[in-house]
Amino acid sequence: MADLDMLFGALADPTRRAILRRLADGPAGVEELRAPFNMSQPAISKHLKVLEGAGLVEVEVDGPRRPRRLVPAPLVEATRWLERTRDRFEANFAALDTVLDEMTNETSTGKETP
Amino acid sequence: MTSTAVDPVTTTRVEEAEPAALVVTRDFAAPPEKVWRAFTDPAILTRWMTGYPGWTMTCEMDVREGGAFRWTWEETETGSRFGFHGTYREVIPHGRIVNTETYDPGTVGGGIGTSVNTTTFAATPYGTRMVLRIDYDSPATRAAALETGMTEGMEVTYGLLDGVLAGG
Repeated sequence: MADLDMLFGALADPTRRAILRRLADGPAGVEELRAPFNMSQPAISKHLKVLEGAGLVEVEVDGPRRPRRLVPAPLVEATRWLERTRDRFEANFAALDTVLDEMTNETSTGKETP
Repeated sequence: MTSTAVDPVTTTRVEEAEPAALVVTRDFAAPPEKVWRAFTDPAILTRWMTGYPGWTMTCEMDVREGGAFRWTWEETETGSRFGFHGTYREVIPHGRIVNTETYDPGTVGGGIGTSVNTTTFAATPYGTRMVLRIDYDSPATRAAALETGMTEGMEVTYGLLDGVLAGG
């Protein structure tokens, strides 16, 4: 459960999501990750620490560049929980679509067609 | 009328937000007045938020500031039961509801404590955009809600909806 907290915390930030999208294309060094965001070195390092803490990013040990690599497994797990939650809401709201239709017919007010 | 040129969200979107929230977004092809009624009139709410076949939803709602609500789902055959209750902090008709929501484990079990839920209804070209923001007291509670309350306990609600849809 603690892992899931860190995961959601990590994913809640748009910069970190952008870093993950970049890493989905392949490993990248810190400088390479920093450049598109116009951020300071400490700021990007802080984001990377959060991502590493959540188990989403690993440091490759080979070479002085120490590139970062995406670890997709926790993302898959998080998506599963969110998807199930979404499915539950969607089931309700799909039923509500039907009920709203019926209400329109019941009250026979003017129908709005988009 | 707003002139937002965005695609309607006709399949529910669920996102996490800081510090410990879930944000649920859904568009409906009906004006806010009507969507509001479907959310606040017990007779209508129980038509779409019911439960598995064999489960019955009981619903008491006093939708005004300081008023209380209690939703209970019960399976007649087994006597299994769970629910939610809370109070309304802010009620702006056709626009916004802020309420507390506490999970009643009943016989089903689990515990996700109390959240503060903010539901807004906004007119869009498509009809109404409903945004439900659930603020939990901590990220741990949100994780627990995702893992238990919103999955196991509330799965009851899934089947219910299938039935409504099939009959619709």
